[in-house]
Amino acid sequence: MTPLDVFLQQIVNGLTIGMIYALIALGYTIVYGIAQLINFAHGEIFMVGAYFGLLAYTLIQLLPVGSVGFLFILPLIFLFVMTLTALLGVIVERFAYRPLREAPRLAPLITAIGVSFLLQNAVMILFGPADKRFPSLIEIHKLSFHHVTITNLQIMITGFSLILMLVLHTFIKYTRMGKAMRALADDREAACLMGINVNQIISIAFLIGSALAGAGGIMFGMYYNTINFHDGYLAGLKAFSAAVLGGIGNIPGAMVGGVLLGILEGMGAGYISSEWKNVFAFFILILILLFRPHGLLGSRVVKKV
Amino acid sequence: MLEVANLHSGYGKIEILKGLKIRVPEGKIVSLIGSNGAGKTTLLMTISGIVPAWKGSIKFSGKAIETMPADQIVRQGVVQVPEGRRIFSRLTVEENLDLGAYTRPRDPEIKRDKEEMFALFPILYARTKSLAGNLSGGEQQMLAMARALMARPKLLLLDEPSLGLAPKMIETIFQLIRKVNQKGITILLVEQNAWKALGIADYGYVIESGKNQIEGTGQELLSNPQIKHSYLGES
Repeated sequence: MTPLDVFLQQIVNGLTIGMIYALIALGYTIVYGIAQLINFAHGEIFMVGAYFGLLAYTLIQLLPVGSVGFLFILPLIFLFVMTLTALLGVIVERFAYRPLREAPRLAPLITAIGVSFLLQNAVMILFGPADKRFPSLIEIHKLSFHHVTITNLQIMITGFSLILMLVLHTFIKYTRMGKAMRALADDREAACLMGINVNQIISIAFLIGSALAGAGGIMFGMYYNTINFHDGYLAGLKAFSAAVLGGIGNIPGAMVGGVLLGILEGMGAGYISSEWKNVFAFFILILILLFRPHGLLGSRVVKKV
Repeated sequence: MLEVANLHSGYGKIEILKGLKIRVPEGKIVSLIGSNGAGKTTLLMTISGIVPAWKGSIKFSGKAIETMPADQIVRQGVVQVPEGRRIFSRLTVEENLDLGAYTRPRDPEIKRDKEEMFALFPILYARTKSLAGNLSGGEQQMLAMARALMARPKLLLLDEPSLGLAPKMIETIFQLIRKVNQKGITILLVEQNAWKALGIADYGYVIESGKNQIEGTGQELLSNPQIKHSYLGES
């Protein structure tokens, strides 16, 4: 393997996991932009998504379908999981955050940690504390270019993530609800004065963010083939770092931040040591907070009077 | 059309409005003047449902609206252009107008109304795709008014529309207020610029420390010696 091959291989691996980080980071950023709330239970929604995926797979195996049918069943699994995590996100917002809407900002942050523990422990009790094997769901094929290997799963993860991001972008940019979300992020009181129902839009923000995290959860399981009830903690923190890296509240920023973080992590794992992999994300978070606290794409908010 | 009676409200524990009474008859322009901190903005925010009413009643077309959520009040036809314009600065001019029509989903007449706004505020037409935050102060005031009109209000609440604008622009804004009123939209205007506000008004109220002080037709108030002394800068 030439040094270039090694480099390209790390890019490919980093890009794949970066896409998953980006999907989770989008949830942090959308919710923060609209509700000014860091939903620290978001990583757990992602983790629950992976378990819902496993549950869906197990249920489907009880049905009389051959492995050939899996290409058709895969979209169904995604649909099932994304619907359930979206619902879970909306429920969490309704009961854990909405009653605290007017409370000091520390209160919902602490509640978020409580929700995190609740979800982690619920999954631990239901599925057990041990690692669970997660199937790849599709038959893995390796494609080689010189010495760089790309699997069809990596292509699928990258492609599907991009599609989800494109759908999100279109929704935010062109639909009535999307415009209302941006208006709310811009000036909540003025949005109220235009007849926008704030609670409804915040619910939609949680719904979208949680659906994306659910999709990320399944892909995470398919990629690593093992899931655990505390996976959401680390993945959530990394995705949060990615959102801060891109500029919290900024949607393209979360996409760029996630991908960038994945690639940097891949580089670190490839060139330094894979045992230090997890350190890079937080090292980057510290650097960003020190030198560019508004993130790569975020702008300092200047309010005109 | 709008009847405010014995209204008390405020922020936190601080009472700002202490039993205010205002009547806005249909089709008229009513101006509200008073010094800084008199409670003018608080009154508009309480009517719009952003600040909760503590006591008293607000009736719009006979319907009690003092406990209605803000978005429902807009749906009744009471729309506010807030102080400092508060346009959505990171959205384009056109998106701001679209959001003005938020309470009218799938209404085929939105497009026509937008064209009407461009006719009324020609400056906005050339800047449809610009970010609203890049407009000048006067243009932002026009956008804020156009955005509110997109909701097809029956009653338009205007909070300090002349604030921070050049004299020529103030003139334009007041002409536009009259034009809007001629289209049949009732107006409740809050202003520091008492001359202008009373000059345009059918009826006016002077409030001080959250209470009614003086009221009368625009002309009566303009010639009232006490008002001349306190608000019009004449001795």
